[in-house]
Amino acid sequence: MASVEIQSVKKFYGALQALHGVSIQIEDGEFVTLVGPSGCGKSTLLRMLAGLEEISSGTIRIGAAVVNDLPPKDRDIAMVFQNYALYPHMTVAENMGFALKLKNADKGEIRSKVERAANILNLDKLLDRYPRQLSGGQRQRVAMGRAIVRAPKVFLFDEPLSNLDATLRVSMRAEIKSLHQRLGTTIVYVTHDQVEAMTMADKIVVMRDGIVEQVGAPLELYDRPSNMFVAGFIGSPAMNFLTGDIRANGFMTGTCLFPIGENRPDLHGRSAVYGIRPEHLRISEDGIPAEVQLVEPTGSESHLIVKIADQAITCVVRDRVDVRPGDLIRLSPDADRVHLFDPDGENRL
Amino acid sequence: MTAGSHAIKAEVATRSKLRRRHSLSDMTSDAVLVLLLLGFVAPIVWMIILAFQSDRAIISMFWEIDLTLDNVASILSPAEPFRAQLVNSIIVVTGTVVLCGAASTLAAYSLSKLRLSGWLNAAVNVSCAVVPLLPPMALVPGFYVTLIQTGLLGSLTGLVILNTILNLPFATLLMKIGFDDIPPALQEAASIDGASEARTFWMIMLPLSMPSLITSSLFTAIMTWNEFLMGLTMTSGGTTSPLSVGIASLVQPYEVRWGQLAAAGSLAVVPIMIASVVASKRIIAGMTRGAVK
Amino acid sequence: MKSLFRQRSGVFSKITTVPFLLLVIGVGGYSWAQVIVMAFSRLRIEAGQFVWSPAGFDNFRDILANDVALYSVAVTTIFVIATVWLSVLLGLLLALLVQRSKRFNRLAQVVLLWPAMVAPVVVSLIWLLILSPNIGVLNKLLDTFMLPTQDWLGMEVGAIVAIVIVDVWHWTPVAFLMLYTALCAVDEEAVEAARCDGANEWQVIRYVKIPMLMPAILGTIFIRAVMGVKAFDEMYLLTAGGPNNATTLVSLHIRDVFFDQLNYGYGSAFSVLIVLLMSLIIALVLTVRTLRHSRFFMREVQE
Ligand SMILES: Nc1ncnc2c1ncn2[C@@H]1O[C@H](COP(=O)(O)OP(=O)(O)O)[C@@H](O)[C@H]1O
Ligand SMILES: [Mg+2]
Repeated sequence: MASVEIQSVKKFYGALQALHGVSIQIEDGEFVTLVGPSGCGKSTLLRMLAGLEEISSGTIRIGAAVVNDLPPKDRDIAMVFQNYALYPHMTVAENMGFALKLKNADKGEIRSKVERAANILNLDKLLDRYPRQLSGGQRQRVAMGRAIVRAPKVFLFDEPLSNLDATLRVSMRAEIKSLHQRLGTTIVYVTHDQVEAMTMADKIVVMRDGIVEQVGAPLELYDRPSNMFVAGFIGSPAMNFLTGDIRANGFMTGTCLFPIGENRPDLHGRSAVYGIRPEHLRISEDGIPAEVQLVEPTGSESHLIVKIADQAITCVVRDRVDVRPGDLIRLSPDADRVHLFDPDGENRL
Repeated sequence: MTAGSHAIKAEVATRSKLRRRHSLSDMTSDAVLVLLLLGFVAPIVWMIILAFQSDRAIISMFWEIDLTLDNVASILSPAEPFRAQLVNSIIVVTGTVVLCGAASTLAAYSLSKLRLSGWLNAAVNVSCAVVPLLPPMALVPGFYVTLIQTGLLGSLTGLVILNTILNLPFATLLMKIGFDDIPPALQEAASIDGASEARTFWMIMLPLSMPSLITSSLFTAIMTWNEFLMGLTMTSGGTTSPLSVGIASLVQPYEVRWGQLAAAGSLAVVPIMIASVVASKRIIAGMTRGAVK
Repeated sequence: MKSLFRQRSGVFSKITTVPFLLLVIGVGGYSWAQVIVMAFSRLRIEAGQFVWSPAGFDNFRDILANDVALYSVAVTTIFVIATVWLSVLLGLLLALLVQRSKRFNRLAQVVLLWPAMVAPVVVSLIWLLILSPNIGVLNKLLDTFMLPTQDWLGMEVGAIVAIVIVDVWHWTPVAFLMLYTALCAVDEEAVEAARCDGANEWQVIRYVKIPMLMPAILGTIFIRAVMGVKAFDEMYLLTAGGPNNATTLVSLHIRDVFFDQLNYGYGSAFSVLIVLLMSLIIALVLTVRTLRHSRFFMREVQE
């Protein structure tokens, strides 16, 4: 086990710059997810940790050692690939024991380590099968087994669940999380799915276009996003944004006045972006009038898309409501959970 | 009866009419196909028939049938060079398959999966593109002189080398297509597992490229078995030459032994016909894959 | 995604290309260099050793003065044009027929492999047994039906037609396989859409399948043309270039000059010329193709 320290790491592919100086501190035993839209440089960063991509500038430490120039095998890391990368001509047991075999470990030792890992992952009965004889979820487990057998300092995952169907994804999510609790090994986990990131991680790193936008615990990011990008990326359905200006008695957009929690006189009079999550809007008698445009029932809750001051807003209601497009309703935002952003820099005010 | 069921009936009727018309034209097209296939097979079958006919029946102006095994027996007799030539051919084919297989696999692997320095890459690529276009006959004078200089003229080693050169570009191309199909993540997984470049090749890539290697080896073997020009120009005939040259030498200006000729031809063809039945999928894949380029 | 392997290459990747380069560039390239040197030399054999003396362009002058050499280029051109078209057309017909046929589909694919895989030497045997004036089955058949028999390979026109037919018989299967594979890859939905638009079978072939096959057809023509220039084995045995040089392909001429007349310089010079000629034609074809492509591209951009 080890901590990982990434210090102003940059990556150039020819003229294209994929990472613009990324710094992240990962504690020993922490479960960290790198999350962000496709193409933002998550895989690139992870592969640089693994030693599969050269580091253009900056340093990466695993434990105390700078690993910039170490080949993958000397970094004591294990990686689970998006498409699993199992060796098709080897059985499950051979796949899992390959790294040990390369280290010339003795057969009995390999066997017992493989069996222990197989036991953890419920793969005992599959050890003599070939990858092509396994289902997607089983392959995924073998890929993890291969990583576990090596007992590395750090596990690296690159979107390991993106090839599974939705149900399996949820159960594997729980499995990986409990595995982490059991082994206590540092994990760096790449995903583009914010739900995955929220549910699994101790710490989330949100990235965009090769830059780290915010680092923090899941609920910290949810409660205090430091800019509009993070605010919109974390949480589903996404946060609503309204443009207008801040007054002494609230936030004014069009003819509607929205409440703000703490009164901040320093902001009075300036224009701002008002952020409110759909789940923090309530239907109430004394709310702001809104015209229903669309109703999307999901069963457990309903999403209403409404129009306020010519801006579309999503609102999540838990109770069954009998509204139709065209109806007029009134909505009250939870004033303590309002976010205000600077419309220019998009940063939190 | 309702209008709907009428409509359905009418549709069924036109459908079956359609099918009948189809099957009629299917029959004519099948008939044409069978005639063409016969045209492609009949000459081979005729040779095999003649292999079992006596010379008298072959020469006869009439359609005589006089079955005999004499032709086959006589070319296989120790007095004829046929046996030695058969052994020569087997040696040359084996040597070429091994040498060409090794060289093409290694070169294709580095083309597909390793970063080569620019000029190495270009050298291999350009040779793969250019050599198959050159008429082998244009290379014969050069090969002839080179073999004289190295003392390999007339030797089986010389033939193995020349056949390897002629087959290498195509074999490399086939192998490269095979390696391209192996996901690069396997190579990365192996390096994380701690395998060196050479071990990754030996333990992961080589086993996974076996199907391509078998296809390309089959091709090399057939091409070498059939090869005539190099055998003709680089050996001095008789027991030093491969089978193809031996068969050709049966065609003599005076007194051709037609039955023996047919028997020798049949013996050379039968292994290949069997191979094509057993491995037709592989051969077709090899021919068309390599040719797509 | 490019990986580090491609950036950080070790000794292994350098060694891997050594056998290939040693054989193809080492032996092959060296041999070709010898051909070029010989083309500008006069060679004699004295006491089993070559004696070289420089000859400038003498060999090339000899070629231009030699009717057989020029004639062989003409014969080869005719041979290539005839065999390419016939085998591509026949191959296309076979591909269409085989694709339609449910009963003979598998059988046809196996059977059609045979001619292509038979050794060229044996191909000429097979056809000798058919075309021979004395024992050939063709004359026997003609005789049975009281028709006049011919010495097919002994007449100039007969011999040319014969080698074209033999070559088409031998290599049409290759054209068939390439076109058949391409045909199977044609999008079935496009064909069905055409049927729904009311196209009959012939119109489907003419307006949908053949246009979609065009790249494959052009590729097949190219490959068959190269094979035509390379042709040697079958003709060497069937006609040996005769009668009256009517079937002297360039390969036959080189062999004759080099091994029978022992005129090494001339033979090499002719090899060099043929390769130059081929490179020129291929370069021309590639240029036309690139120009065509870029014109297509321009049109698309404008639209
Ligand atoms: N080998 C490469 N060559 C050039 N550009 C690359 C390469 N790999 C990744 N990129 C670019 O780097 C950026 C980040 O890619 P990646 O790390 O794969 O994104 P993510 O995993 O977050 O989706 C993308 O713009 C991608 O196009
Ligand atoms: Mg990625």
